[in-house]
Amino acid sequence: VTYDVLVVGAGTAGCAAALAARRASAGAVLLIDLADRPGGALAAMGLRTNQDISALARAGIQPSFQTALVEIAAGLRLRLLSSGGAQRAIARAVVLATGGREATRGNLALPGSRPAGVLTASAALRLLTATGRRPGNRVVVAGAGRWARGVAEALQRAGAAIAAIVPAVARIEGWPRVTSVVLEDGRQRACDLLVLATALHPWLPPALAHAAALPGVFVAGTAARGELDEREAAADGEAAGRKAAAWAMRDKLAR
Amino acid sequence: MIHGQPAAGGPPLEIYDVLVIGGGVVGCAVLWALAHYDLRPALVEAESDVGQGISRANTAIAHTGFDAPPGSLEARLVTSAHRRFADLCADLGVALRPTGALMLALDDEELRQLDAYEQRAALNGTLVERLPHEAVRARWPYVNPAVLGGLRIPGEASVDSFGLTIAYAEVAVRAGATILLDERVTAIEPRGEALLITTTLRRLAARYVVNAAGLQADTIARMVGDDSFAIAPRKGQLCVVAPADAPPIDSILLPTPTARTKGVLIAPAAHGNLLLGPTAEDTNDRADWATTAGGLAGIREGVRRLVPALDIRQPVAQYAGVRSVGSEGDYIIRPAAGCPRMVHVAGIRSTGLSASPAIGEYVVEVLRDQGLALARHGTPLPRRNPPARVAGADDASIADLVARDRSYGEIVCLCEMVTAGEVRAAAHGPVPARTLDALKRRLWVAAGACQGAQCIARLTALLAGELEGDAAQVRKNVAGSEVVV
Repeated sequence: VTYDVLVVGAGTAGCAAALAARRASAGAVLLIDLADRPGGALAAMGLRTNQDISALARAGIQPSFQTALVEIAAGLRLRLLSSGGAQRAIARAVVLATGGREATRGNLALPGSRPAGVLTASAALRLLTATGRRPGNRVVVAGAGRWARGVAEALQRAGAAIAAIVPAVARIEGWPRVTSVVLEDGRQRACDLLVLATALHPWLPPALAHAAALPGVFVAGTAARGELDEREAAADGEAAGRKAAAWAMRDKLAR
Repeated sequence: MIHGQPAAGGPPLEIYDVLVIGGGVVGCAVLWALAHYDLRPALVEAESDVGQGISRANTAIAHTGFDAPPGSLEARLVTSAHRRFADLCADLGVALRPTGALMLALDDEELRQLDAYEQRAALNGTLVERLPHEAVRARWPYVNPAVLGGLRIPGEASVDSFGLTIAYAEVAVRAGATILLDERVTAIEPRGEALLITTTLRRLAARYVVNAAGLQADTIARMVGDDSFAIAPRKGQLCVVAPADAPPIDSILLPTPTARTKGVLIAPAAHGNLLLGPTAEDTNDRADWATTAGGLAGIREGVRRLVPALDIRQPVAQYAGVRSVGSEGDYIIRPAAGCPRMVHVAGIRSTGLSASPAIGEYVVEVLRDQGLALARHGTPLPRRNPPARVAGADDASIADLVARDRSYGEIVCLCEMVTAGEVRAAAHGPVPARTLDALKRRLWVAAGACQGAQCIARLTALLAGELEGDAAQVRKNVAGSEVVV
């Protein structure tokens, strides 16, 4: 199978990229996502209930959900995985819109015990959305990322108490569950959930990290630029989609 | 058979031939060694999974024993285990990365110590090679240019330490052994030809008991009135770095220990990351598994001394382990004073992983000396086929897996390329993974770059389904570590 443009990630940037590629008259556009619905991280975190994909449908793009790009090699030879098994394909151009990521506890080199109840904002809200249960009762939110306020509000709506929203913490205490954190000024705050809500930074999963250097691959949205709002992510995805379509067109003519 | 809970309505008293207390790598290796005989062995573990104590946090190196004190039981068992370690890993389906090790001398004192280690290796019968400055720099150009010389120990290797512990346990269970999890031993009393063991969940009887309780080995010994030894905890902090953030280090790099400092090492792990550490901090607190800013600073300084370009900018994770240092220096493997039906396996320090197969077989011999009747099974234990993995599998194998269970086509953890099918299989394996950390030790799921940020929700929902319970019952590890409330 040969696709003109493969778009990985059906979040804001990926949907915009797929649509833009299609409108720029790239023939076969495939949009895939690991999740079972569109909307990317925001949908998984319950920060947006429904991504409108009717524009995609009108443009003739039917996203393939629960589908992963597991390998990508030079010549944009691809391996996709879904419940149908592994599938080999070739793309003329690829847009990676797989989302950014917050710093983990390990990245922040945050000392202390290693208990349950220490989560990134993304993990905390994904848990709440997937299980319908909150990941803690008394919460300290640390970090100034775009999700810091949203995570606090969502957890509060789910019945948790917000003990503090702070720029950073200095140490984690408690076992087997966090019982308190020590702030940078030495004060202690009791909690049973620490949410790390630092700014999103650009990121690709390890299996795709090398792909950014391949000709014909375009990285878009928070995966490329970190902290973006929805409008910026859509604009970035749209630009990447147009570039990918142009690349695919040149590739088609060259062959 | 795996028990997590006692049968309803008051279970009958179980009588085992041998009960192993402690499901670390040593206890599991003893159970594995016992499983080769016509016996009824069991293992009881206080935590929710095997390998969750000392064995969960180490440098995951299978040592040759080149630096063990010559003539010690430790030297004998580590060197003996080394000779068969590659075959063992192949039989048990455990990843082994034969990197070899390189000990670096950076000043004159270390160069003198290097001589001493070379002589010690000769006494232990370990193959080593002395390398001059030029040879070290030519082959490992990223090491400190100030290096004066090196000692190459080609037999040192990195091993999947979680995998080895689990493999021992799985093979034993498949051969008929019983593993009791989430169950702490609280009392032991001799009763005729057996020992009566009280746990937090039930009473058990065993003809023999093996005390492989790690940091609690002295506590268990005291239960039968043996206070002949004590365990001192020693904390070691480690740091994990992704290979993409470091020079292409393909050998274990060791500092030359001196009277001044033992130093920290760099180990390319079997799974691909770099492990840096450990610190060595004597502590009075067996439950102190916390990392500190000072510990990380020490590791940072130590590794840059070996490889100046290795800057720990964005570590994947930090963790700490607590080793059990016995009061006698050497391993303590002997019948308990005044209670010959209990055999201690204590003070295994930091070489338990390396010596484990030899420790297991040595303990069997000690039990035989104490009167345990031993007859080998008619047929040898089969090789262990490790669970099917999608990452690295060819299209045909994936097609087979997906035909068996469509969830092998659903990626759950993108960092480590783990599917829902693999998670489900691990939850129903011979030693079932019933917590997120247990899944991590079997599949490396949530152990990658994002440390579970993207997959913990899906994993929790999946595990709740496999445990036939509610998400609120899913734990990170022990009771009290529930993921959601």
